[in-house]
Amino acid sequence: MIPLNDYLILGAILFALAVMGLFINRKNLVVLLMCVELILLAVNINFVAFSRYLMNREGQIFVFFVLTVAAAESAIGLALLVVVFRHRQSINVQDLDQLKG
Amino acid sequence: MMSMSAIAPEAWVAGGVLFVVLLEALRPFVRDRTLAFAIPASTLLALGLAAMSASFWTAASWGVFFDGGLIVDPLSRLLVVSVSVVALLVVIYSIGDLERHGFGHGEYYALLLSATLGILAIVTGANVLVLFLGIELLSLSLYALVSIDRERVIAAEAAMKYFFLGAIASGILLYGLSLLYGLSGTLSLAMLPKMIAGLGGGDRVLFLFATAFVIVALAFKFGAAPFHMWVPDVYEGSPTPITLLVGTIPELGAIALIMRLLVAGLHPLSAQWMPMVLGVAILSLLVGNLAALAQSNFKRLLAYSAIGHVGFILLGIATGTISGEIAAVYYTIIYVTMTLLAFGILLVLRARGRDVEDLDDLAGLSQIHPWWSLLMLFAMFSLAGIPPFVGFWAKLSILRALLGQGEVWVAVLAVIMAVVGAFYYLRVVKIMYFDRVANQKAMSVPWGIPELILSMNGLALIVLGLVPDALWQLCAWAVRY
Repeated sequence: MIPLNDYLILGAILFALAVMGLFINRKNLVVLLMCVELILLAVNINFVAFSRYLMNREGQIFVFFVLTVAAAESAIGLALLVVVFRHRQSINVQDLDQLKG
Repeated sequence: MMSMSAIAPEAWVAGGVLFVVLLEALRPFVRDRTLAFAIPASTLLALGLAAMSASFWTAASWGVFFDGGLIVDPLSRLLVVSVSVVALLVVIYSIGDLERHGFGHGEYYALLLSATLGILAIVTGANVLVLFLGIELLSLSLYALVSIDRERVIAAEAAMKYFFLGAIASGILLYGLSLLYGLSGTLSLAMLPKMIAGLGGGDRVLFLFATAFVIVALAFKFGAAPFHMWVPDVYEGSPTPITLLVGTIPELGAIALIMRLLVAGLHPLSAQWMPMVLGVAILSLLVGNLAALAQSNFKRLLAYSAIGHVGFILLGIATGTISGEIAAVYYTIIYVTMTLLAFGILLVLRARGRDVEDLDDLAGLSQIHPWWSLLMLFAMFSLAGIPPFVGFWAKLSILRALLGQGEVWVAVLAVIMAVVGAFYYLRVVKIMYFDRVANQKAMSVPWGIPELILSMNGLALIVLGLVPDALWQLCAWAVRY
């Protein structure tokens, strides 16, 4: 059986990759959406691994809700993407510069 | 244990969402005027019933229901009633503006109700899963609301930025929650402190790691520095009725989340998370108040002032004492009342042909709209913390809690930042009363119910300022339980 630690390390690596992708990528909004999905999936690995290790089913139930939320989130993200594209004819991250946060 | 009265507020609001969507689907068959009345009316009814059913909770209804999913206690009663009432006021203030600008269709009302439903879930959640779903329901509705005006280019950009930063925050929160779950083996907020208290040294370090993730995410959602980047953009980018919504209801959700997850759930680790919250609070005070000095856009100014106020609220939490927590809840409720007034006046002015975006748009306001500029003066004085307005008591209660813990230097810093804040609030008053502008036309629009309620909201700042004790006792009772 694969030990719990290995799952957690995999989850942490995926999480770190996704967060790095969000900050490094400056070209494409779709890639940002993929990174957001990857964060949620990394968390799911954690939940499932803990759930199996603790013999406690709550974690797996949580995963179903996270998956549902992830789907809703990407639906809204893609809808916003379409709105932005209509205005600018571009999905380049650097073009989002009218507001100075 | 199941209880219909425990879930009644959520049930009314959820019913409201479905009913509004259903009405909207009837649009091809029904006259537009009928819908323009029925949709806002059913929204108001749902929110009113939610507030009513929560205010009927008595000591006999306290308890945990639905297999540890829902908690009913004085804190949830206070916050459910205030969230529903604030949402009610947001709708009343915005109705006219929404209709004039053509996005007053069902989607605004359905999304507002589902955002409110998300906050109610946070307020009454007794389980990490319920809290998470509440946060997501709130955030997803807000992303859509910010971009509700599809023609507004900056709104699309603001919504996109809000979406990505919010999604990162949710991911970070979830990662923290997954670690908490793995370490404690429970999702119940009641069990969590017991599991933490029984742990040894090594696991406590990991708990601290998870707590740091949770605090980062909470700061993101609350709009505290250094995770505040989205706040000014969203305030400026959204149409004013949406800014009114984004600036008020979510603050109540954020304080509920902090009280439930951080203060109650992670209580045994309070000695470790207090310094982190203190750091975030001090940074928010500095960033919010200093950056607000440089703003020329009024909505951006209010956004940075919001960051400064969040700093004050978090200072109360960072004391780790009951009186600090009471002060934080008290401050949040008062802050929301003041923000409602400020943005409500902007909407009233918009109806009278004066669209305020920049500070200069307020010039000479006192000659044309003396009453509204007087109310705006109330809002600014109260936000600045000048007695006899209620904002003064809110700031005082936080400072008292800090001094009670011997945090003199933090209190001194908070006072200095409040003085810096007074500068830019008074500048708004100066522009309204002393700057002159040539050829201004007064557009007289008859008063309706929204104007009356808004005026009462303004007068409430003085009344509450003269008798601050009643609200304080209410908050004290809610938090102490």
